[in-house]
Amino acid sequence: MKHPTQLQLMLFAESALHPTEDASAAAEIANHLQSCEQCRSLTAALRSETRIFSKALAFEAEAQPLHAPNPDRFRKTLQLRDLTLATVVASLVTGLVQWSWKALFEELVLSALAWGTETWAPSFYALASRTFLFIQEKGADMLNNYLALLVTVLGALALFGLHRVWRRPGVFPALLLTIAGSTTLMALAPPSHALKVMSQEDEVVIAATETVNDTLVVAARDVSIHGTIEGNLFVAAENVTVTGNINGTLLAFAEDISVTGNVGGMTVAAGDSVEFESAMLGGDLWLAGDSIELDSDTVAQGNLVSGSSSLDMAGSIGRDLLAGAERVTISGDVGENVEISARRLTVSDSAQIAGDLSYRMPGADELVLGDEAIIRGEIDYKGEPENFQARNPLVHHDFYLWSVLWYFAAFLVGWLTFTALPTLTRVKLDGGKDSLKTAGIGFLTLVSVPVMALIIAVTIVGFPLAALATGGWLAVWYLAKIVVAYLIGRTIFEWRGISPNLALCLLVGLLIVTATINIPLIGAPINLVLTILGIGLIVQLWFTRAKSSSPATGNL
Amino acid sequence: MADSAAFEILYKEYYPRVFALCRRLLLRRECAEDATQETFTRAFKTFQKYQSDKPFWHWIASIAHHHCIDQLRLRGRLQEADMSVEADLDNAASSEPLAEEVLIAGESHTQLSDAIDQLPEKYRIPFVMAYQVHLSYDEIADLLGLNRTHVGVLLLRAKLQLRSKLTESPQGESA
Repeated sequence: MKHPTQLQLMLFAESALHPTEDASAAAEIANHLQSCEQCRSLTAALRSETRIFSKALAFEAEAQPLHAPNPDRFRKTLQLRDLTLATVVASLVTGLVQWSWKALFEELVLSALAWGTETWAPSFYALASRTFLFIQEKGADMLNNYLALLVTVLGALALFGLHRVWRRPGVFPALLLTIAGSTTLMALAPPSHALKVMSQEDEVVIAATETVNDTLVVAARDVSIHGTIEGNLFVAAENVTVTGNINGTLLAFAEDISVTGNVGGMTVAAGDSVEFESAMLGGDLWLAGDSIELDSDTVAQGNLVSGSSSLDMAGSIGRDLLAGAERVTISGDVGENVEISARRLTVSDSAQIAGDLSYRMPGADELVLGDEAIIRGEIDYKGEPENFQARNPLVHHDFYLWSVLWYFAAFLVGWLTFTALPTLTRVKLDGGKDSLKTAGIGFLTLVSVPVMALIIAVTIVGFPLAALATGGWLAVWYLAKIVVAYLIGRTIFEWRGISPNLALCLLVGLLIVTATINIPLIGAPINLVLTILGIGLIVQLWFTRAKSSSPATGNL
Repeated sequence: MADSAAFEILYKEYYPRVFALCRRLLLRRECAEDATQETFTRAFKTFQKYQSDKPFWHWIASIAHHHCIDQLRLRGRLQEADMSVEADLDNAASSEPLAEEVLIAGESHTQLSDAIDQLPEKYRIPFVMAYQVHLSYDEIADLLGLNRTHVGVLLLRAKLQLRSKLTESPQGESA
C-alpha cells in the first residue's frame, strides 16, 4: 500500500487542494486516510502544527508593547483640506442662492416675460425690430446674467477639478481644471470693443451735418441716416432711410428700406421692400425681400446676389448678377455674367450684359428678350429649376471634389480627435443583440438630444445649456461616421494579422465609408445606419468611462 | 470627518499587528516601522476604497505585505524559489518530529518566533503569508509568481527547517 507524501497530506490538511483540478487526488487521500491509521495521525498532527504556527505569529502581534505613533498627520491633513473645501463650497452656495433669486428670477425670467408680452405682434419685421430694441435696452443685463451663469458653472467645474486633483490626481480632472479656470478668467475679462448704440421708441435721425465716427448700432421704429457714418451701420427698424454716407458695411433689417446715399462697403438688406435710388454702392449687395428695386441711377461695383418675389434691376452692376425670384426684370448694365432662376425673366431693350446669360425657367421660350438688348456672351438655358435637384450627382465633378474634401477633412479631424482622446480607440462593436443595443442608443441620442435642447432653450434660463448640448450633439454626429470608419479599418487590419495603426485605420476605414455612403439609392440609408451606430458607440464608451472612473470599491 | 475618525480608531487598533507583519517580513525593526507608517499612509489615501463589509485586517495586511515585498525586491533580497529537489522532501520530513511535539513539550513561542526569523526569505515570506496573514495558497502563488504546488513545497520546506531548528535547540533555555 502506497502512502501519500507529506506534501500531499499537508495540502489536504490545509484544504489547499483545488476543488476541481485536484478532486480525484483529494478523494484518493480521503479514502486512504479511512484505512491508514499512520497517515490519519500525521494529517491530524500537521493540522495541529499549522494552528500552532498561526497562534505563535498572532501571539507575537498581540504581545508587542506598541502604541501607534501620533495620528495627527492623518487628522490635520484631512481637517485642513475639508475645512478649505467646506468654506469654498459654503461661500459658493450662499452666493449662488442669492444670485439665483435676483439674477435668474428677477432679471431673466421676468425680463423674458416682459419681452414676450411686448413683442407679440403679427408683423414679422415689427417683431424683429422690437426684439432688437428690447435687447438694446435690456440685453446688456441679460448678457451679464448669462455671463454670470457661465462663470458660475465654469467656477463650479474648476472647483470640481480642483477637488478631484486634490484627492486623486489624474489627467481628466487636471484638464477640466485648466479649461474651466482659463475660460473663467477669459469670461471675466472686460469687453474691449467700442460701439455707439442708439435705441429709441419712435425715430432716430442722424442729421446731414452729423458724423458718427464709430460703428453705429441703431434700433427704432423709423431710422433716417442723412449724415455720415465712418464705421458700419447695423440697423433694425420698421422703416430705414439712408440718404447720407456709410463708409463701412450696411446691415439693414426692416419692413421698408430705402437707400439713396452712398455705401462704401458691403450692403446686406432684408425687408418687405428694398429700394435703391441713385445709390452708390462700393461692395457686394446681398438682398432679400418681397420686392427689390434698383433704379437706373444706382451703381454697384460688386456682385448682386438676391432672393425675392420680384427683382427690378435698372441700375449698373459691376460684376455678376445672381438672382432667384418669381419675376426678374433686367434693364440696366451688368459687368459680367448673369445667372437667374425665375418663373418670368425679362431682359429689356436697354439692358447690357457683358458676359453670359444663364437662366432656369419652366421653358426656354419664356424668356422675354428685348430686340435691342445687348448680351456679349452666350445665352444658355439650363432647364427647369426643379430638374437640378433630381439630377444624378455622380456625373458632376463637384460631387467628387466635395467627397475628397470630406474624406481628408474627416481624416484630419479623426486623427486629431483620436490622438487627443485615445480612449476612443477602445470602441468595439459586438455582434447580435449588442449591435442592436448600440444602434438603439445611437438612435435615441440622435432624436432625443435636439428635442431636449429645444425644451430647455424655451425656458431661456437654460439657453446656454441647450446651446452646449446642441453643439456636443452636432460634434458627436460628425464624429460618428469617423469612429465607425476607424472601427472598420482596425477590423480589416486585425483580420490580416497586422498591428493596427491609427492613421492607416482611418484612411482605409474612411475610404470605405465615403464610397459606401455615396452609392446611389442605398447610400443614404447606409449613411443613417453608420451615423446611428457611431453615435451609439460614442455614447456607450462615454458611459463606460464614466462608470470606470467613479471611485472603485474593490480590493487593492 | 467621519472617515478620519474611523481611520484613527483602526490605526490605533491595527498598528501593532501591521508592525508585527512588517517586522516578520523585513526583520529589522526600523525598516518595519517605516513600512508600517507607509502602509497606513497609503491606506489613509485610499480609505474611500475600503469596503467596510470586509475585514479591515485583510485590506491593511494586503497593503502591508505588498509594500514589504516591493521593498525586498528593491533591495534584491527576494530570492527565487528553488523547486528542483522536491524528491528530497519526504526523506527529510520523515526524520524530524513535528513542531507540535517539540513546542508542546517546550511551550515556547519565543523559540518558534526566533526560528521563523532565521528562515531564508524564500521560505519565510510564504510562511508568514500563510500563517500570519492567512492568505490562501492561490493568493500567495499570485503574489510571488508561483503555482499552488510550489507554494506548498516552500511551506513544507519552511516547516522542515523549523522542526529541525526546534529539535536542535535545548528546550529548557526558553522555557
